[in-house]
Amino acid sequence: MDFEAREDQDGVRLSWNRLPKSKLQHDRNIIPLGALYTPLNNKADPMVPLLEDPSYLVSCRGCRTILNPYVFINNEIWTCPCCSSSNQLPPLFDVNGVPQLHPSVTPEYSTVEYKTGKQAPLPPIFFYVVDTCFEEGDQDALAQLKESLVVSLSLLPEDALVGFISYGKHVRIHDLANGDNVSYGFNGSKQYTLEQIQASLGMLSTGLSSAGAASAGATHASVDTILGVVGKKFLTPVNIGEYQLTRIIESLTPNLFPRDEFTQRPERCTGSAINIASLLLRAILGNHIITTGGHLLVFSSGVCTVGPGKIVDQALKEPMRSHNEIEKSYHSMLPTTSTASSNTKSNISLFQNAKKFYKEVTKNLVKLGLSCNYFIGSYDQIGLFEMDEVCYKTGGVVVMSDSFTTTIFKQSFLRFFKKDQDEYLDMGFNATLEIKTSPDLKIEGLLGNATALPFNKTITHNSRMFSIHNDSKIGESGTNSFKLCNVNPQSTYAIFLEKLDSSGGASTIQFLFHYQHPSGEMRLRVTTVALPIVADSDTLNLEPGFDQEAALVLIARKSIYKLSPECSNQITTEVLLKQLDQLLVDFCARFAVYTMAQPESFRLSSIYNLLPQFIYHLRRSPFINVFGNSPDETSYIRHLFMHEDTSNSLIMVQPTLLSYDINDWNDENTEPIPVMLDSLSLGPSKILLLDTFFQILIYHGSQIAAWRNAGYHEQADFAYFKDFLEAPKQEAMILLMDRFPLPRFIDCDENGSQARFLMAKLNPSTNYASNVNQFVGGGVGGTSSSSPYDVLTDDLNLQTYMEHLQRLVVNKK
Amino acid sequence: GAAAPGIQSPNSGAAQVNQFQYQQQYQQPQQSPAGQTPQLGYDPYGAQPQASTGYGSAYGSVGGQAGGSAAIPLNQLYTTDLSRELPPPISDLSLPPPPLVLPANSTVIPNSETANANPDYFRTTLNVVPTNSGLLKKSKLPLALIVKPYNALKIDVENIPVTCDTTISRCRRCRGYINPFITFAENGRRWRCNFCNLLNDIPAAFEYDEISGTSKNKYDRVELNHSVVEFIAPKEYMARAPQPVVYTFIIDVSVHAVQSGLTGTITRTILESLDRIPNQNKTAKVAFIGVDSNLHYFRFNEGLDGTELMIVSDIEEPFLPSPSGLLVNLDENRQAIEKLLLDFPTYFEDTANQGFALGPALKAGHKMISNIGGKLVCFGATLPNIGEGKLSVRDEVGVSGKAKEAKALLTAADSFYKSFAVTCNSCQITVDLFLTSSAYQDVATLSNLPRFTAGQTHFYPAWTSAKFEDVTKLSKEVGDHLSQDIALEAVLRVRGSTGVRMTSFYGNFFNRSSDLCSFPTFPRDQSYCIEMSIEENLTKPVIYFQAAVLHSTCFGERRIRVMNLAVPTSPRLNDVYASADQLAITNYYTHKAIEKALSSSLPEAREYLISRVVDVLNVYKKELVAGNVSGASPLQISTNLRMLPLLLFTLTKHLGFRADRVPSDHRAAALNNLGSLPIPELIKSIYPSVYSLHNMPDEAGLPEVITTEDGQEQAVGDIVLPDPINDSKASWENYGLYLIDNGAELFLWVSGNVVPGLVQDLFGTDNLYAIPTGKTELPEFSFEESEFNFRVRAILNKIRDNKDSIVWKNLYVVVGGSSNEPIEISQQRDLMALRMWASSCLVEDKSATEPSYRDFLTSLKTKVSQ
Ligand SMILES: [Zn+2]
Ligand SMILES: [Zn+2]
Repeated sequence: MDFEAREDQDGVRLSWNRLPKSKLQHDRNIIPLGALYTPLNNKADPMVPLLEDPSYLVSCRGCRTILNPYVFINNEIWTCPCCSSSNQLPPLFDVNGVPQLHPSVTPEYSTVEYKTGKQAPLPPIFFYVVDTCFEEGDQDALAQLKESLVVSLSLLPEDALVGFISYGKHVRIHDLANGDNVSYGFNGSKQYTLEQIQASLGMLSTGLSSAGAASAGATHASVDTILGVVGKKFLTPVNIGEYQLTRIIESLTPNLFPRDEFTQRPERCTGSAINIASLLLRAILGNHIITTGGHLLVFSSGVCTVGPGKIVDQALKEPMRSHNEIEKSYHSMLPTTSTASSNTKSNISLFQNAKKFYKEVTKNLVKLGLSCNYFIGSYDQIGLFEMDEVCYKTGGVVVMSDSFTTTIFKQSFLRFFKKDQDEYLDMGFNATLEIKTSPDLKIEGLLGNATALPFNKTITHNSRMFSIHNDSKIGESGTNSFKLCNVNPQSTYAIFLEKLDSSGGASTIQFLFHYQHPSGEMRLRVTTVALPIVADSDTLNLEPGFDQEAALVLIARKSIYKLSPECSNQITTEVLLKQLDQLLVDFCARFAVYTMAQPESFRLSSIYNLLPQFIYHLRRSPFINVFGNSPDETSYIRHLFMHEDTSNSLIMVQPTLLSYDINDWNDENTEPIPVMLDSLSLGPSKILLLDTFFQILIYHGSQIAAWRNAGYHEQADFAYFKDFLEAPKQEAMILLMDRFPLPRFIDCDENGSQARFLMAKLNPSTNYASNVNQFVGGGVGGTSSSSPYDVLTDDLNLQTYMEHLQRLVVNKK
Repeated sequence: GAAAPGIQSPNSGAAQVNQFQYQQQYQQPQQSPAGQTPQLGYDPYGAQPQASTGYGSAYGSVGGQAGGSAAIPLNQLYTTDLSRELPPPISDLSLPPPPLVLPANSTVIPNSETANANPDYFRTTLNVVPTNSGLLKKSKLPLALIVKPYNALKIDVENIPVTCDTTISRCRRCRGYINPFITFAENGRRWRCNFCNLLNDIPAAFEYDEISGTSKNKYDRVELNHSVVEFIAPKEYMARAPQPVVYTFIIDVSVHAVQSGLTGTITRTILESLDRIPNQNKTAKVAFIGVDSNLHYFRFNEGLDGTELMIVSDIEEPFLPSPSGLLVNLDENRQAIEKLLLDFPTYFEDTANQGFALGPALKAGHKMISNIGGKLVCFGATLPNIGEGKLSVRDEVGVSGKAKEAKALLTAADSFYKSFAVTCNSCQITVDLFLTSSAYQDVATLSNLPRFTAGQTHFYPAWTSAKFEDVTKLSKEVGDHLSQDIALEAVLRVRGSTGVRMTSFYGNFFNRSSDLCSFPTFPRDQSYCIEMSIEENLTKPVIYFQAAVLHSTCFGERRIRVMNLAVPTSPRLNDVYASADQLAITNYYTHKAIEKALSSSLPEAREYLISRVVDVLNVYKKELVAGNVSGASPLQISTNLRMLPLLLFTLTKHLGFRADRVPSDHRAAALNNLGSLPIPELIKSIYPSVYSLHNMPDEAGLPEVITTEDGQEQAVGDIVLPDPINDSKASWENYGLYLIDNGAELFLWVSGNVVPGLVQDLFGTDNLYAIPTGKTELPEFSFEESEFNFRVRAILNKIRDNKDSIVWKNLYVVVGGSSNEPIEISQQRDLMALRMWASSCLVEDKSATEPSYRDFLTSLKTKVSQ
């Protein structure tokens, strides 16, 4: 089975594409069943069919599952795979009155998009929340940020609603309707309530007058009516407000209050600003519509030091929290919350309060259907570890850069507004994802940029589609319905499924992705997946259904989740590593072929044999191993990991390394060779191209660097050398093209200081030449250890790790 | 007062003062009009030839042994019978105080005429101080100092001598400043302190100028020659560098302010006054805060165009929404400031906001300038009704006229205002109020802000921009207020010779420690009173007082203005009475009565004033009437005090104290004024000046004619005013035209039976009932068109023209009653009220609740022991 072909068509990858009939047998297969779903997947060729006529949308009367190619049809009756209800197939005729086959049941329509005929009540909202807390020496960053902001206005859809808040020590909501540059100030150190914001902006008194107009016909209410007199000041169509907003942006000045720079951090109230933005939007929208699509675009140049959501005290003597302290705080939280000693170096109660605060903000935004995005231009941490939840659960992006002057910020920010071929923004707004399953599958939960919604109780079958046992719940759970405030073509959601005993020949999963298209149309994209059931004993037919890449990504997401405080059974890295090793041992014991006590006999088929290596890299990856990274960095890369699709996730876990060797370079062969992430891939005559997703690195071997420094490539006789030097750069450009955020580009030479970024990723191998491309071949027999995990250190190389693994498996009783 | 501003007004520096002339004044009231300058008017202290021995024997018979030293003839005691002085000779009110008679050798510069204080700056209630507290007590007269360090709104109108360098010689022991009353010792190498007798070194700079390398004559030092001088202070006198002048304008932008036109008028006035704000150094800073239930901050783009409006509705804990651009340099941001002031009203023209968060606005203003200091100038048309310091309407009807009225209505309703004011004072911030509500505004509470910060409360009840006259008054006064050359970061300290102690301080400032009064900014239109006690017997023939105002000028110099006063002492009651200053005493009792009203009640305050009169008459009758003839009039008093009973009596009829019902805001404003007015304005406020215009002399209303050296007569000089007449209708004709000046308003009373010709001349119509009454202005005719109109307006302008007060008096035209007046006129309530108001200025007459002065004297007779 071609997993990637299905992914291209349906945007779905599953760890298991075939399932054994019984629950028991499935559980023996170690690797959990899960789907990686990319709803706005844009790789389908031909494109996902679009059905304009809402009448094509046929759903099961019992459980609202949508008619799909996998239903059983007999005599114009289709049987629902999820609830077994029999439904009348509505007759369908072409223009000549000839009966037609319902398009939804054609095999190519496993993924199909319907127009619902409904329109979003408002154009998408782009609400800017802009830090103005820039140091004296950082004025260039502010200037360039302002430039980027102004440019972004021209990238918005014409009718997009814009709003603007600036913040420093205090928060200012800017009035976009007034030509006089008017703003409303709020105390950054205070946490305002919705009522206070409403009262402050005079929205309580105008409520009556506008409510009458709205009730006259909520669906036909014009944008003006919905926003109301006051709302119009703060949300205005960009084509009307652009001039004023540009003026406001250009006149922004640092809101940095005097302080002792040697002992104090700047006063910055990021938390307050985000909170006020969300409350303001709720105040404007709350009376008329429940949810709408749009983005909060938060720009931050430093850590939040005042007000709600404050990360660290102003005093510099108070350090930022470390991974260590964060971990400790979780442990102290578990047994006795209040007696935690206050003698820790940094104020960990701040950390806990901040977490709590941002959780509340998140809830408010999710209620509105808006996503929150962070654009960070700060060399130091800004508190992303605490603040990430707001983005994570609302589908927002995070772009972390050292400064707003960097290309990473500027290019990534522009790419945020990327357009599709129809010139629509390449994103879906204010979406919900509903998942229907056949009775043998239950949703354990979802990991990704989503928030659980209460399931629709009016459809009784929904309640049978998810697990309710606490020990089988994971991530966003207890429902079959999720809020996806923002979805882009890369947004990928991991859905974990519990497998029960099956009665039919296939299990069915249907994804109902309801979203606001950038055109304003409300659309429904339906993807249906049928998983064949094989007999419990039929390992042969089970095997081709295993997708080890998907399996790795699912395991990785689950691992990250287990390390987070979100998880009710949060564990330490140490415990997680043991669990991963145990999983791998169990996996190999289940699927490897070997003779007891003979490590050299160990074999894994190609279906399974990449997983151990993946796990090895996962163990070493910064997603699991936080050593050397700040909490913010950890949070950042985890955030991206939890968003990307399978192939990008794989790159993140196991970076790709391409090799160009001048010795092999000729007219016929200009293609690089993928090589192992191993120190043995290095060589003086080579250029290596490393892609870690976050970084793209070009490494010149010493000889190449020397020639280049001598200027050979500039001589006519050495044109081929010039091409050789250019080739990796061109390849890198191709990699950079679609990447979001823009990776950091590093160009380095052997022995150069930047080369350390490559070295850090390489397997510290010394003897792997004997074992090229086959990590699991008959290794050297070693002494078995009674406590094998003890020797699995971070510096362990892949070969040693595999040897240990094999020894353990074959010696298992 | 007769003495004009300026230090040149000579003083009685020596014993050779012409007492005869002084005596003449009291026997024949001078016709010299008030307000005239010395060179034009009559100068009782004019330079006199050296004393002729001819007077000596006369002194010997009446003068006594003063202070146990050589005999000095002090002022002679003359007795007057009040009941024979009717109507009271009110020209006394414009006389200077009895001369300070000092021994010939009392000044270090022999026979200096500028050594002793000009009473405009520094005076005592008693120009002869009793030598012991027993005598003071027995005299029933108060001992107090009246200090008015500045006598013109602008620096260059005054000519106070300034030291030539930063050498400041002070006594090492008592810290007194070197002054004209020290003595040189040890061949002029040292000086002996006149306060504590310690010998101090003469600074080298007195005799040698290091910079120019020339020797100097110490006798030329201004501080040895003048009673009022200004020292330029060296660095040691600065806690920090002199700060720029700062004006933060807190402007009511609520619906009341916007609709009454206050917002627009004020911003236009500020705009028009920008050039007048003292800003020689181009360092003046300004900020603007608009207040309704929100705070509106205006942020300037430092040096560039454009302003941002930042609205903050969270007034719970006011904060500044921007770290910069709110308080900006006036000069550098002039264009943007002008544009803002022009646009300002448009921001608020459609408002319906009823709130006025004054307390939070003040706190915000305080935050804005607390590290510099300066002025918070507040303009309000609304009772502060939201946020901290929120006030509510008090029950006036329930308590008005009752004993508890003062406590219930005239004391602060919220402690915020005083405590905030004290906070401001310590940050060098002054609060000024301009209040214009037509409804209750709680002046009593709000006036605490200026009181403790050396500011002022200006009250414009029911002000509206619809009235041209209202706009004129407010604009002129605000403009003059802003253009005053205020001093900054000032403290006032008053010293006295050993044996005398300063006990109480009255006026708008904060009394920071026992004798240190703090003025964040020092206004130039207020006066201060300090009560003293005698702690030890005074053995010297002369004692000294010194008031020093350490301050920064508005052009950034640290200076000390020092005022010196030498007063003879005497163990004899006669001498004390003969030299008592009735105007200064009235000023002192005004403060005491205010204190009494607020701590007890209004009736007790009135009773207090009357009792003071009775006390004095009793003492005089018992101790001082020659021979103590039985059956003699009980209303005898020394001639120099014969206005005191009148003044204290009419003070009880003042708006601040009178028994009639008075809206509490008006009463509070009146009491506030009484507590800070300089003596001339205070006296006018207690006893208004009335001029009879229909029969004024030919020269009145025209410039004074001066005969030049070559014998030509030239009409230059000031406009001649007619002499004031008594405040009583008894002297009025029913066809007369009268002008009343109560210090705050002018009333032009057109009697009901006035001849049509006069109406025609004055108003351009002969129909008396067609002329505009109430707050108005006279039509302007040229001299040729109507000489009478021209002259009356000249008189009005002269009265309104004031160098040391910002008050601009509105004119109210009042038509008096007549038997022929149409019934609809008699029934006009406005006119009735106006007549009553104007008539209430005629304080010698009986009013609804108060007796006439004549009746008062009669009642006194029974109170003075027979
Ligand atoms: Zn169904
Ligand atoms: Zn001394």
